[in-house]
Amino acid sequence: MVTKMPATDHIEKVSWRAIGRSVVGASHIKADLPNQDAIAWLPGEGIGPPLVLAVSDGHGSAKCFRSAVGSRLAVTIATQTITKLQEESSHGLDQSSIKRIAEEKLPQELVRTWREEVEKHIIAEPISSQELELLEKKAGAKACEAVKKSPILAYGATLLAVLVSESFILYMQLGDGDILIVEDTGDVNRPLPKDERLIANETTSLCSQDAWHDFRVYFQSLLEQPPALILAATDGYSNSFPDEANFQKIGPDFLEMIRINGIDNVDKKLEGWLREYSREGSGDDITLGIIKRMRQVDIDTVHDRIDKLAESSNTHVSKLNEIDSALQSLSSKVSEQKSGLEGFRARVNDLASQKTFVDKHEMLLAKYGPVQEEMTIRLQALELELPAIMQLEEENKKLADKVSKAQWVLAAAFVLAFASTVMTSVLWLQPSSANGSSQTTSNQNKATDPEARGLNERISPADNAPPQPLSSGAEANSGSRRDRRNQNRRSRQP
Amino acid sequence: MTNRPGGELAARPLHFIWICDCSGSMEGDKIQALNNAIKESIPSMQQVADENPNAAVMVRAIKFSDGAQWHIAQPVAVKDFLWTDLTAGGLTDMGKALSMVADQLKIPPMTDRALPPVLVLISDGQPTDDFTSGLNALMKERWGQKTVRISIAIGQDADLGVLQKFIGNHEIKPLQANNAETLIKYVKWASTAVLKSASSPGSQTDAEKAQSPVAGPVPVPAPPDPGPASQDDVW
Repeated sequence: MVTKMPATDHIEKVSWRAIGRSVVGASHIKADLPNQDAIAWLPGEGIGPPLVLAVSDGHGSAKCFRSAVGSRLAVTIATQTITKLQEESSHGLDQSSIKRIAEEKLPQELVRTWREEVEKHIIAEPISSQELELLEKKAGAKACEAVKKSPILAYGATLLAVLVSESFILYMQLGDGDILIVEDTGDVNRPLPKDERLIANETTSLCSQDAWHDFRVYFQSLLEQPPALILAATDGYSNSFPDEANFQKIGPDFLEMIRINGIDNVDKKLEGWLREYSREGSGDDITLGIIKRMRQVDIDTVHDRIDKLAESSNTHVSKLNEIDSALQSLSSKVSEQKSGLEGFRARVNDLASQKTFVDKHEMLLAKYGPVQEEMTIRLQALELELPAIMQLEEENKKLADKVSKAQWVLAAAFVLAFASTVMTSVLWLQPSSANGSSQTTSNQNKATDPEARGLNERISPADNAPPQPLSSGAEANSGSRRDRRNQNRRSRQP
Repeated sequence: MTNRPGGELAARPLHFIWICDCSGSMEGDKIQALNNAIKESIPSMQQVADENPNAAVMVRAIKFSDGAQWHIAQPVAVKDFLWTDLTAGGLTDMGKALSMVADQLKIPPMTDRALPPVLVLISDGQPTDDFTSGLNALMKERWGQKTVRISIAIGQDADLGVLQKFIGNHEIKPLQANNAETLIKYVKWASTAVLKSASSPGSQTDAEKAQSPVAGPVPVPAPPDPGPASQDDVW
């Protein structure tokens, strides 16, 4: 918590604060020209009284190619010379004496000092042949001759200066530019009348022969109500507005902004605004100096604001802590969600591959569905035909058996036929003995196999001769078999 | 209150005025050549204006024959500028035209924040009215004195003395166009090179003026070379 400071006597009297900025013009940036304006104030911390602020606009014509140096010298000399006057005046000079000095001697002193400093600069850095060549290229040989004859032309610049002391304010101006004073009510006035000659970029200048004649000076005693705000600007500023009304609106606007947001806040924003004015307006370099009377109410307002800021900063800190923990919790949740999302993504991929499979399956179904249906129908038809087929199969089997049997019979018949043929041939070809034995065997066969006998009869119709009586050899054979059977029976008995 | 202190912002106006002779002697080829030359110069003029966004170029035209009349009365932004053909016939009341231009250079309607206006006077003959009164009326106005003045003579019959008086600077001479091609060159130069110079003037000091009292508010670039006299010089 900030403790409210007691108002000092110094502040209660009147305190003044100076701020200001100078920016290079938008068209100067395009043309690769430097900022030819300058600004300075004393004391350096910008708190007074006494407080001196000066701005200067270095001329942009081709001949004034060192005007950036000229303007810097102008503001430095003005702040130093005027501060010196203020110090002298504080040693017992009355206001009318100070006014006379300011109106009569000060302009001469300023011009004389400026010229001396410029001459020193020319000696230290003589005008170069390159500078003259460039000038000739831009503005011709005559311009070149003019600068050679009077090198001080190259440094031409304007000067606007304001001195705020405890008892008076002094306003001085040479050349174009604007000084505005803003009352507490927001009303705007010009302490110095406009120089009607100064249009179309023509201006009076420190480099003119009798420049001090062209100074305009206004002395304001602080026995009157002091202004709330003093603005001093180079002409690039006012030329950025379509008319005087739009320009003068800067007075109440700056006053209100400083009252609401504080002069430091305005100071921070000033440079950006000046660049914007130049870009959207004149394109020229713009310099603005602001001197603000710090009222007690302003200071109280500042303390109140500090107290409120301290309170609100505590609240903000606790809120920030809450937000921090909430953020941490949120962060872990986010991590969880992230891993969940990873799983989900894998599942989605899996489903996607399944989906592909299903799609293929459906495609195949669509393709082969009709075939399957046809097959089903055919299968049903086959099932209906199945009993008939089985029956056919049975019959087929039976036929096969019969065929098999028939084959066997046929084979046997062949064998018998062959045998009988052979035997018949033998019987016919061999002598009777041999015929007898052969006939016996043949008869035996006929006796034991009726089928073969029948077959013989069928196959050998030529053998119709009457059957021959059985030979003794046949009997002997029959007895022998009987004997063997009996022997076998006996051998099996115990 | 807006975020930025002050009211609306605006580029500085730059008034460009064609002052055209429409007398009977201009009838035929000359007036047609002038119409063509101004039409042809419009795109280059628009380009110069685009390159200098901090100058708001506004164009007007006044014609003089029997008396004078604004051909384009309201200043037109150069991006919207279209040329309507002039027709010729009558006397050469140049003085009247200058006094009418002088009326438009008063403050108001002019603002003291303007850039130096550019006046281009094109004539093929001698004034038939009080030229001096017209010129005096122009030079009486603060902005009249600060204008950049260029003059173009069409043909051999133009009064170069009058055109030189109009310029008011012996370092700048009237431009002599004896054929359509040269006229186009000069019209284009006036509407581009001169316009460009007037678009971004640097501050000039009274010390500079003291050394060259007739110098205009902006340096006028060298005009194009018309080339040697030839059989094309029909005027």
